Amino acid sequence: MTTAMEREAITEYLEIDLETESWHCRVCDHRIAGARESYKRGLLLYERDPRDIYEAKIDAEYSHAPDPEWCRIVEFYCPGCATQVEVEYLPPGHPITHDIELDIDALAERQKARVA
Amino acid sequence: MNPATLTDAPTSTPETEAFFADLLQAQPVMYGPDPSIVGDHRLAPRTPSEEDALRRVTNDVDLVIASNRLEVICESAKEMLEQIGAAPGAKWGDLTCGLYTASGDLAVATSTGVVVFAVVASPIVKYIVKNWANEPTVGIRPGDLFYHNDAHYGGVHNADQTLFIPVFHEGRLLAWAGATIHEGENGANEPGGLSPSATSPYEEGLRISPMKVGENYTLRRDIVNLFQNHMRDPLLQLMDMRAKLAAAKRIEDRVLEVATEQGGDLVLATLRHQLERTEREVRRRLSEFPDGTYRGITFGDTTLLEDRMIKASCELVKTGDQLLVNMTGSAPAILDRAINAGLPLSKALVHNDLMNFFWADLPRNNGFVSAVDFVIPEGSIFNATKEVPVGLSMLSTMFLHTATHLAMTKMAFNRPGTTEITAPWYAMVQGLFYGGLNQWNMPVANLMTDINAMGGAAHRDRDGEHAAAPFFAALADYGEMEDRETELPLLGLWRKINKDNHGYGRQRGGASVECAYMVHGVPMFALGCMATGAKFPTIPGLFGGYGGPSTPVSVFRAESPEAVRKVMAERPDLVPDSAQQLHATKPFPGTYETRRPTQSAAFYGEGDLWVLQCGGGGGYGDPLDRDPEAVMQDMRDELLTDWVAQRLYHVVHDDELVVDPDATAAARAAERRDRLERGKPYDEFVAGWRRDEPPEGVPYLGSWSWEEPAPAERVTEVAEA
Repeated sequence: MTTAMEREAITEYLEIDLETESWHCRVCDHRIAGARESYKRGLLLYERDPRDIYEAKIDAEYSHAPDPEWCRIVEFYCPGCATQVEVEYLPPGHPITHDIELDIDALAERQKARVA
Repeated sequence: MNPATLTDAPTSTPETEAFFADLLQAQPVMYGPDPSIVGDHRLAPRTPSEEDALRRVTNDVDLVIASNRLEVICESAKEMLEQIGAAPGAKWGDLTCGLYTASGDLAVATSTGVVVFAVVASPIVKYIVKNWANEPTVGIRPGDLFYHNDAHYGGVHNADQTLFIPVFHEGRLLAWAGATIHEGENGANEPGGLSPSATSPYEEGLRISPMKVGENYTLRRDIVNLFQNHMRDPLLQLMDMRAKLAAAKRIEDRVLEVATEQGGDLVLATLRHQLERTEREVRRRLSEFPDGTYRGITFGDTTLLEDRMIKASCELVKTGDQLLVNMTGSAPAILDRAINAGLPLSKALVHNDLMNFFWADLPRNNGFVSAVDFVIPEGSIFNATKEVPVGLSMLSTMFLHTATHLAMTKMAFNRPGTTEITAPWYAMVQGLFYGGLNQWNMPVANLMTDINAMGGAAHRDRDGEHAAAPFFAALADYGEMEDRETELPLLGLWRKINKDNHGYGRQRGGASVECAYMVHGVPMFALGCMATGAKFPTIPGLFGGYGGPSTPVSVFRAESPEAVRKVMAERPDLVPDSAQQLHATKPFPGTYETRRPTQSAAFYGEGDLWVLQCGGGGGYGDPLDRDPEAVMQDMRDELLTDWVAQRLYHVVHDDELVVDPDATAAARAAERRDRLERGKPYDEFVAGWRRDEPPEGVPYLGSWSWEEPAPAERVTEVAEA
């Protein structure tokens, strides 16, 4: 008899299903992407002007809001429940960061060894 | 060179080559920074004495008791140094004490203070051992005092000074005792030891390569005088050289008590055992994390003298108990700006993340960093060479620390309980440096300790602490305003936590303080500051949380001191208590402006005013998941404006800050629907977002994409200011 593999929590809002090799939302269980690709490929992305998040309290070149010519905020939402899973601060147009690239085979082996 | 000259040159023979090789080795022009030392972060091999000691001392209980005793020795010496040190850094926690092996590895350090001081000092001890032990004109003997401040040999920056004493027992070198203080003033071309305008190492003040400065526990006064001759604050130099001598001597005395009572072998075995045990445990804990590749990037926004985007890139490749930290893709070195960092410091910031944020329960020593592999390309901003200025290396390595922390946290989340998961701590030094004659006609030159008021990171299960401590020094303080006013010709108008100065999220980051200082009681005083984060925020949040806001500085130039005094005397109600209010009301006659938070020192007159904002910690988790009552409490505590409460937290409340639960739930549901509406699938988003190169008008240093990292050998000189 084989035992079903447990899901592995990888971030606050994301987990890996080793049976199906897929990323899932930990809030709504939405299947987001294949486990061997960037989870960001399965999310919804939105570009923010930083002045939407930070009030420019002083009317001057340097204020409390980042310069939108230098900084944009990319928000990542779960398509199932709209949870904001991640936020990236980037110069406009900078490639999105592939921040987590797991060795899925090693992860599965580790879980098998732990269960055994 | 003319090729003909090459053709006609006499052919060298093995004999002549050997002759010149011997000559150069025997009589080097100079013992400069040694790449084989500053580039090697591994533990030195066991010495025969250590091997013998480990064979003789086999009782684990003895080793544990001795290691605890050595830790207490260092801790008490640090506490003593904090009391007797004169520099602002000494008083408020920017110092450390450590015990090094005879070979130079840091084996025991204080658990408080700036632990990386001790970590990056190991190359200095190794340099002394390699070059001066057998040099007939120097040598290493009991009672010798060695000294250092040049960061090209090790250390953080030239504002730090370290004194070392070799610890001999029964004729055998057992260890080295070290005491480090951020002294500040070092005679650079700007006061306070951290010069933004230094364009070469030769403008960074006195550069003390590791050297002997005394014998028989006595400082040579002519050498001390030489150091004082470079400094704007000679009294400070004298006092703190003596203070560090006292602390290092205290360590030596108490280590010798252990050796006398229980044998020198116990000391040798304990130091070595601590190092190897720590390295093994770090590797064991690393092995628990999932194998994979994790990446984090952050950006600075100044070279110190101009606005430039500077990339810090950190890729972690974790396999089993191996961790490779790859900084390829980070900005290239900037030849004529003091924001570059040497290898020891760049590695130490990774060390700092592991020590202070991941495994604070482990002994602080070089075993941490020895367990990690690094790729830091030549030509990188994080691999500075001898001819590159490094005075403000901490700025670039602080955003490197944040990039590393992002990647580390994503590696570690899977194993809760094995480490603490936090958003990025605020990681930048926002503070004034100063120089001139104070109101007592005494020369002063140093750095304000407001830098220590960094906002703490949000944790997974709780909010961050306000103005908690610098991310690199647990329990460091930012001092009393009254002390500053007593010592310096400055009037503190306010130091307070400002609204919205933290990262938002399910758990919010800790807020930090805004400080305002007016020149007072002297006709002029030199002021400057150093930080990044005005155009691009210093830290992001984590897992859906946001980072803190930008942190500009405000500068007011008075029309006249009399005009400012008149307003303060006759209309105290107009005196502001925030930069926002200062700019909105412009209460004093004069000029108002905001600037990037790195400014070279310039003279300011009585009545001129500076306002600086230390940053808040990063937020954790989706802001829509934050308890509405916690949002209201933040408003009651004057941490948050309604602008944020409504736009980001979507909390509906009345004028008494009572939450309307139904309306809040509806507002949050509407925002979630809006996210689904406005969010685009990845490929569609990237098609509209991605650019092949940085935007025109944004000067940018570093790789643009992960696929095409910046050539490792690339070195860029910024041409115009």
